[in-house]
Amino acid sequence: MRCEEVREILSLYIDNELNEEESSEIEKHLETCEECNREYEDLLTIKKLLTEIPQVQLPDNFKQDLHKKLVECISEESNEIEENNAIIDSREKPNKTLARKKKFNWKVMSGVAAAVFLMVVSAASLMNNNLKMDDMSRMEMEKAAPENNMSYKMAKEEIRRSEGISGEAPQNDNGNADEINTYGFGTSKVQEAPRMTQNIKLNTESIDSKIILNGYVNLGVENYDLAYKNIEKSVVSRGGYVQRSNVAKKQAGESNKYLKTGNITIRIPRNEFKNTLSEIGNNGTVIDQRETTNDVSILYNDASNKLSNLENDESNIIKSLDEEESDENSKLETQKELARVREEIDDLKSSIGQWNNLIKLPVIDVTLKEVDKDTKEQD
Amino acid sequence: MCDLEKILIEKSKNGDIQSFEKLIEKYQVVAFNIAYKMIGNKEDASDIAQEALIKVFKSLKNFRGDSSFSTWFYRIVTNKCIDEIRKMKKVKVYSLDKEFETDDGSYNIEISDNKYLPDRLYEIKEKKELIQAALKRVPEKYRTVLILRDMQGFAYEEISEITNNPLGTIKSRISRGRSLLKEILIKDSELFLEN
Repeated sequence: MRCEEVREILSLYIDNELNEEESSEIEKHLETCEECNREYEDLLTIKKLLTEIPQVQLPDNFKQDLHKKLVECISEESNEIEENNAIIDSREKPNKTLARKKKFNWKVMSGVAAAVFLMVVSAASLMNNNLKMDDMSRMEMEKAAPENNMSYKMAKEEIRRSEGISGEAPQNDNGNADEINTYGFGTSKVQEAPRMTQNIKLNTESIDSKIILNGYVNLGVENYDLAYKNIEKSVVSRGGYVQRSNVAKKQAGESNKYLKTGNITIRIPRNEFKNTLSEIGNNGTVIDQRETTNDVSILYNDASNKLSNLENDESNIIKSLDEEESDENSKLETQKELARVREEIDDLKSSIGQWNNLIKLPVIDVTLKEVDKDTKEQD
Repeated sequence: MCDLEKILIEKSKNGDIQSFEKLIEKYQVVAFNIAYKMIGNKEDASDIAQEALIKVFKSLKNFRGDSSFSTWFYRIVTNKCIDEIRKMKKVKVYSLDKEFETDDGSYNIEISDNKYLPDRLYEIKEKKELIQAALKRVPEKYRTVLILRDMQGFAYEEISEITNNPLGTIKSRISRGRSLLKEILIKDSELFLEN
C-alpha cells in the first residue's frame, strides 16, 4: 500500500472503521514506514486531545430559563386557541363566557390524564383475567376492612361508594345513560365498559388513586327560573355551590315569548356527586347526561414524590449553608440553588393543590333549555 | 427507544412541560456541550441550546416514532448550532475560512517546515485552551463532525443520520477535519511555544 492511500484511511483505522484486511495492510505499512507512523501518532494525539476535553455542566439558570420559555410557549399556543374559540363563539353564542386563563392548563391535563387512563385500562385489560383481579380485589378488601367479616361483594360496594366511582355494573340505580367515558363525548352504551373499568379502578387503588370526576347534564325545562332555583337549593343543601352561571334569552318562534337558555357550573362534594346528578335530572327532561372520570393518579404520585425529594434537597441545602465555612461565591451559588428549589416546590404544591381541589369538589356542568310547553318547540 | 421515553414523548406532545423536562433530562447536557464546543462561549451556547430545546418541544407533533428520538433530537440541536455559526459569520469582517479556502472549494494549508506536532505540545498545560481556540478556526462542516465524533462519542452512522449526510461524506470529513486541526495546532503552537 502506498503512503497516499494509507494516509487517506488512517483516520478510519484509528476509529476501527476498517475491516480486517484493510487493518492488517495498514499495520504492515506502519511497521516499516516512519513518516506514516508519525502521521498516525499525530492523528491519534489529535483525537486524544479532543476526547480529553471534559464535559461542561449546565449553567446555573439554564433549567429555570428553559422552564420559563416552555411556559411562555404553552400560553402562546393556548392564547391562539382561545382567540380562535372566542371568534367562533362570538358568532354563535354572544353570552358564552370565555374560559379563564388558568396557570394550570386543564384542557391539556385532562387530555393527558385521559391518555394515561386509557393506557392503564388497555395495559390492565391485556394483562388481567377475572381470576387474577379477584385475588387483587380481595387483597384490597382485606386491607380496607380487616376486622369485619363483610362479604366480598358488599365490601366492593362499600369501597366504590366511598370513592364515588361512577358506573356500578351490578346495581345501576341510575336509569339514565350512565357511561364511563374517557374523553367526555360520545354516548355509546356499552354494558361491558363500566364493569371493566371497575376492575381497573381496584387495580389502580393500590397506587393511591386520584380520580377527577366530571358530570354533564343537558335538561329541557318548563320554567328556567324555577329549575335554576331548585337546582341551586339541592346543590347548596348537599354542601356544594354554584361556581358560575350565565343565561340568555331567545325569541320563541313568532310568538312574543322569550325562552331562556343557560349554563350552570356546579361544585359538589365528591360523595354527593351521584345523588346531585340525579336530583338535577329531576327538574326536567334529560336530553343528555354524561359522567367522565379522569385518572390523574400516576401524575399525582409523580408530583408528590418529586415534591418530597425537593423538600429533602431543600433541607440538605439549608444544612450545608449552615455548616460550610466556604467563601462568598459558593455560598451565593448555594443560595441561588435554594431559591430555585423553593420555586419548584411552590410550583408543585400549587399543581397538587389544584388537583386536590378538583378531586374533592367535582364539577357538574348543567345546561338548561327552557321549552315552550304550548308549542312544544325545542331549539 | 424504551417505553418510558415513549410515554414521556406522548405527554410532552400534549403540552405537559414536566414530562418534557424529564424527557430531556439527560439530553440537555449533551446539547449544551455540543453548542458550547461549536460556538465557543457559554452565554451564547446557553441561549442557543435553549432555543433548540424549545424547537424540539414545538416540533414534537412532527416526530413520528419510527426513527430514534435521540437522532431526531440531536439533528435539531446540531442544525441550530450550524445556523447560528453561519449567522455569526456574516457579521464577522474577517472570515477565518478564507485562510484555508482555495478557488475550487478545497482546503489548503500552508505547509510549515515542521510537518509533525512538536513533542513539546504534550507538555503544554494550557492544552485545553489551545485546542478550543484551534477548533474554532476549523470550518464548521468539519468542526461539527469532530465534535460529535471525538468529543461526544457518537458513532459514524449516528453522525451520518444526525447531519443528514452519506456515511462516506462523514468518513472523509472526519479524516480531513483531524488533519486540518493538526495543521492549525502546529501553527498555533509555534506561536505559543515561542512565548
